[in-house]
This record gives sequence, structure tokens and C-alpha cells, in this order.
Amino acid sequence: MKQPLVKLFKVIALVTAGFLVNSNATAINVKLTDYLAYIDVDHGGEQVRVQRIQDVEHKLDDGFAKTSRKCPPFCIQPMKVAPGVTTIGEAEIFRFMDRELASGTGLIIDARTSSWYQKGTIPGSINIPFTNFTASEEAPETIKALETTGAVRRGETSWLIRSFEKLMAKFGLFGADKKTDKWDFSNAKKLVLWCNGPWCGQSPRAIKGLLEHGYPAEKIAYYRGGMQMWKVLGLTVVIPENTEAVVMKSR
Amino acid sequence: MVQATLRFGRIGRFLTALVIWFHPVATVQAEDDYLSILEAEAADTAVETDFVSSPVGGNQVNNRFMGTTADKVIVPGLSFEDFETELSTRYSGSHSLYVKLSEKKRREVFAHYQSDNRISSVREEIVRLLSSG
Repeated sequence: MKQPLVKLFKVIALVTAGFLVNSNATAINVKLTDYLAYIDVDHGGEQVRVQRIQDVEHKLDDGFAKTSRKCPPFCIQPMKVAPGVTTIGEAEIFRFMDRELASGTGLIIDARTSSWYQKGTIPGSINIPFTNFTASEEAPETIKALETTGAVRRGETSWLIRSFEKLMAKFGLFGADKKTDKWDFSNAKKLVLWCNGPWCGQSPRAIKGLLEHGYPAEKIAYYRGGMQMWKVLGLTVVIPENTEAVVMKSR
Repeated sequence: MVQATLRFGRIGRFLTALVIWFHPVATVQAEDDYLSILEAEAADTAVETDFVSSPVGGNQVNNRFMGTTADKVIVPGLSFEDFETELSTRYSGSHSLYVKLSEKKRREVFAHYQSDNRISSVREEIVRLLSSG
């Protein structure tokens, strides 16, 4: 008797949920993808809805409508920024927001300098300017930036242990390939780095800096479209209330 | 022939040493130039905020989502020392350029801030003074 009742409740719940999803979906004419109308993400402790501008007549009329900037330094970036690093698009960012970001196993990093960040950022992003990743290994901003990603600074490691780790790393055993002399990246988060778009070199520089510090390439993704494509698609932008970056440049 | 090779070898070694010696300096200089150009471009890039989205629940009064970057201001009435501290803690990009200015020019930036405390305006003044040599 009890089991059929539970089943009935489940069916009612599913049907109700279906109606709710449907009613939300019909209210939005410009969806994110064919299967997703919007996505809610945590941004600094507040839920923000990522959706697209619903006005189908809307056109960009700001700095991101600009077609040409002097190259160098604003040169078009290649699709593949470094070996092992995945390049992703918007749909993958939504999935990342839904999975890694929501579960705390991933970070979306706005790698631009603070003055760009202040103009608006992608919801769910934290600002770590690329200079924090390109600075020297001992620089306080580098240490803080890497620790933010979940990397753990190692103490003195004996020559014997390091030799063993290096040997094991060649075979991909015991997670030794995720360790360097100074850092343990075993529990480091998956990262998505982005900047102003295909003409921007800030996130590629950040990625190269991360790799030089030993960050595992397979844990890094590059959103090449950046703010340019984000805005072209009319996606939600957050104007940071607190303009302070997570990691400040100390130079 | 042997002498020429030796001479080339010495010159080559000298040039290599020179390159190695100046490489870090050149790298830092290149990065500083890149940052200056980035700051100038950021100052020139206006951003539309009419369509900035709202947080879930549609709380439109939260200025975090509705504010415009053009209205962002540095706290008014700061002393010169506090102004510098504010710049270094809240606007690191602008501060990285500001520290390259001479004491006299820093005072000019401060005077500018006293008449117009919008960060966009202060940043433009820093870039202007920096490029004026």
C-alpha cells in the first residue's frame, strides 16, 4: 500500500517539475542552448542568473563592438594556447558552472587586470590578474594565486623522495606527475581562464605562467571567446561591487 | 682564418653574455609596456551596462548589478597618503602605472582626484601624465 503511494507522489512531483521547467522555458525566448534556458551560479555568495538579453533587436554599442586594435599587443590568439590545455566555448562554460563550479572542484578565473575586471565580469568568476601567474615562483602574489586554486606549497623535500617522484611521474604513478619541487597540485582545482576575447593575450599569459609553475595542463581550460563573445551573445555580466581583486598585484 | 674564428668566438660570447645579462631587464620592461597599453585600452573602452542582469529574485535595487562603471568613484576627501593607499588596494592596475610617475606628477594626479574623483577620470590622468614623458 505504501509503495504505490510513494510512486504516485514521485510521478506527481516529476509532472509538476516538468510544468515548472516548461513555464520558465516559455518565458525565455532567447535561450542559452537548445536544452538550457538559463543557469544560476554563485557569485561572491549571491545567486546570479546567467541568461541572454531577450530583446532580439539589441546590438552591441560599446567598446566590445570595436573590430580593430593595434597588434601587437592585441593580436589574434590561436585556438590551442598550450599542449594539453583544452579550449572551450560558452556551452562548456555553462556545463562547468553547473558541475565543477557548483561542486567547488573548479574555478573560473577572470585573468584580466583589475581595470578591465571593474567593467564587468562573467558571473561566477574570480579576478586573478595574469601578472600574478607570470611573476616569480617566490613572489607573494604568485603564492597566493596558486593557493587560491587549491595547490599546496611543499616544504623541504629530500633529494631521494624527489628522485623517486620524478621516476614515478614518468609512468604516471602515485600522482607524482602532479608534484613539483615546490608545489603539490594533486588537489588543485580545474580552472577555466578567460580574458577579453580572441584578441586578448592576458589569459594565454596566465596559462603559460601556470604551466611554468607546474600546474597540470589537463586541469586547465581556455575560454578563448572571453568577454567579447560573452557580450556578443548578450549574456549576463556582473559589475563588481567590490573592485578589489582576489589577489592583488604587489609590485 | 683561425684568428678570425677566434675573434668571432670572443665577440659571439660577449654578445651572448650581453643578451643573457639584459634579458630579465628587457622582459620586465616589455611587461610594463604591455600593462601600460592594457590600461590605456581599458580606459578607452566604454562598456554598456543597460542590460546588466539582475540576481535571482529580480532584486533590481542591488547596485552591484545595476551600477555603471562610469560612476565608480574613489572615496572623496582623502589625504595624499590615504589616496595612495586607496589606489594601491582597490585599483592595482592604475596603481602599477601611478608608481612610475615622479613625485610632482603624483601630486598632479592627487590634485586631479580632488576635483574629479571618478576612477575612470583619475586613470585617464595617470595615463596622460605617463605618456607626456
